[in-house]
Amino acid sequence: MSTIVKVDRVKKYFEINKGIFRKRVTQIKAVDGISFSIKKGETLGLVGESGSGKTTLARMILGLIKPTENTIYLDNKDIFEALGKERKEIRKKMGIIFQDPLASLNPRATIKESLKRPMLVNGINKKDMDEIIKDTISKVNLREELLDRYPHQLSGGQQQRVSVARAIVLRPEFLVLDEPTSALDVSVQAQILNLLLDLQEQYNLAYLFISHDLNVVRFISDRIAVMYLGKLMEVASGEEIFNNAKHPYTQGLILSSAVLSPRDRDRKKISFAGDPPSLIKLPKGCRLSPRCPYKKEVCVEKIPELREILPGHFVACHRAEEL
Amino acid sequence: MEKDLIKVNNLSIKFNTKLGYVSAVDDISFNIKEKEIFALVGESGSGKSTTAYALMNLINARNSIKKGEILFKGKDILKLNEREMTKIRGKEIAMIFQNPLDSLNPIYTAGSQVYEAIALDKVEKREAWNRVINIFKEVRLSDPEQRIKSYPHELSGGMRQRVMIGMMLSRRPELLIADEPTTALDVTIQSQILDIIKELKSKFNTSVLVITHDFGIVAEIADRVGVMYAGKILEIGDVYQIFENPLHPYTQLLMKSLPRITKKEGRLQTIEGSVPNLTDDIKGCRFNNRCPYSLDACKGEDSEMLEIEKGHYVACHLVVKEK
Repeated sequence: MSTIVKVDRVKKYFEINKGIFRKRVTQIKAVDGISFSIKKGETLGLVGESGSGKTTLARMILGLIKPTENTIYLDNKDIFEALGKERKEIRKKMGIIFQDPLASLNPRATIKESLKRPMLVNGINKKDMDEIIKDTISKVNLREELLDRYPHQLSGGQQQRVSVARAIVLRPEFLVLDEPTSALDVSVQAQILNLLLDLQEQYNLAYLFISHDLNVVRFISDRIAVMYLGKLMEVASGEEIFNNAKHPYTQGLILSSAVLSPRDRDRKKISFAGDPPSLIKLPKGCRLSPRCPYKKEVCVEKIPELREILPGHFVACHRAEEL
Repeated sequence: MEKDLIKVNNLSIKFNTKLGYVSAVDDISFNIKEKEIFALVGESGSGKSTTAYALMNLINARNSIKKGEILFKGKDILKLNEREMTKIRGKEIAMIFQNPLDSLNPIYTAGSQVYEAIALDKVEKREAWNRVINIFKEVRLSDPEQRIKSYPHELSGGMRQRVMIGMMLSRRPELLIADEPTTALDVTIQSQILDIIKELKSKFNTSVLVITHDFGIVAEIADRVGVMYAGKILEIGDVYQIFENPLHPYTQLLMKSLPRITKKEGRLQTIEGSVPNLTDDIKGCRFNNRCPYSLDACKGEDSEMLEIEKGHYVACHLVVKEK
């Protein structure tokens, strides 16, 4: 399988300025040197708590904000170097679906207008549009009569289907799914997840699936990347992450995420002390070190590199082998 | 056998809207025993929050019709006047909400808001402040002497929810109502908050009513569960009965729609159709339009709640017929 997205050591630092001269007082290292790639037709799940930099990373991959250092490739093209027509071509190949479908649809536009918009921007022949819309809407299991309605007239599940339809209307190869089901009820969540899998099979779509719900990520992902305070802690196949996690943070995250059977409620948990530290005052060594129950001297001193400890299983922890 | 702390008998709540009466809660009965965590679980619009508000007698009498009774230690809450109710609210029944930032006053420190609650019981000043610090310790806020001086915006989401829980516990209520207490929080923080709620039971003998749409939370902390759908309770049982031997078709389908598998094992169960319009004077089982096993009887009369096995109640004609 060939690679569709390649993230190459990207960093994004936000500067905090103060005073009349906007002097730089400090930096927020939202994303700090992250690399991974996503293959065609693959789902990479990205998990992490709030403030871990998931959304900043997603916005960079979509080319919405520029990395402070290094870059991202889509189909081997640097998305930040491409200009004009080439840039448009790259952007056509990717799309995004957000958490809150109602907020991401224009309240004054009918569903049809919302679906037409990306095609107008990309100069698709007007004659073909109706045909494409009809086809797309049936792919997401929506009835045609909904096309003339406004977003507020639809249920949450239908709204999210419209978002999906809009994202695939240009037949992209890669979609960023930013918490696409967290605003939905369980039964509707199941519908949307099934739909995303159907579309993936049909169009060989690659997904970056961002979520804090580990059960959902486990269901949909081929590989999972765990992020904490701007760094990747662990990347491995879904099975490896859930059955053989090596990083204490991943282990803790899996054990603290709510179980779906009451028999598991008495499992042993790894508890992290307190809350994540502020991104302004990051620890010197491993970012988990102030909260990690297994920390040693080296963890406080040195930042661990992401290294491959088993084929395809990457961990950034000094003590990965012992734990 | 523990005694009932609260017993709800045939509670119905209708709201008067422009489109006529909406029957938000329809003829529901349940009980919460002493030292028990009872969860009301349901999708959006199922009436679970309305039920919680009714227990606090917070439903405006002017545009609603309430029927039935809510017996709290033998007294009917719905018959109390505002003055009598004020004595119960906070003192005997306390409530925490989804977003703690909305519930805390931004211009007072966290400590002074908890102090205010304790001072209501005419506690001497120094003693009250000592209690505040002790409560902050009980809900595991680090560095309580400093934290009492913090304003809500200076605290993280998890700390705010801990302050809220502390404030509610400060007067040792017998029942704590938690309306989606961890929805806004990260998984590691959610797990800490759930642990605190579980402890309440053993430490202070508090009963807890948890309102949630998240089956993970139910599996994690509930002793008994009521499943709500479109204003009705369809099934009540202990948490193992509900998760391992659900009897109502709705509960069965919901359990199968939880993402407990990976995509290699197949797709998730979905529930076709949508929730009926509650403005109609609906007849019959409210789930019958989506139920795969719907019988003729389901469209006619509503099924009574029947005890199928010990402590396991279900309202379904099919189950009754098979029995």
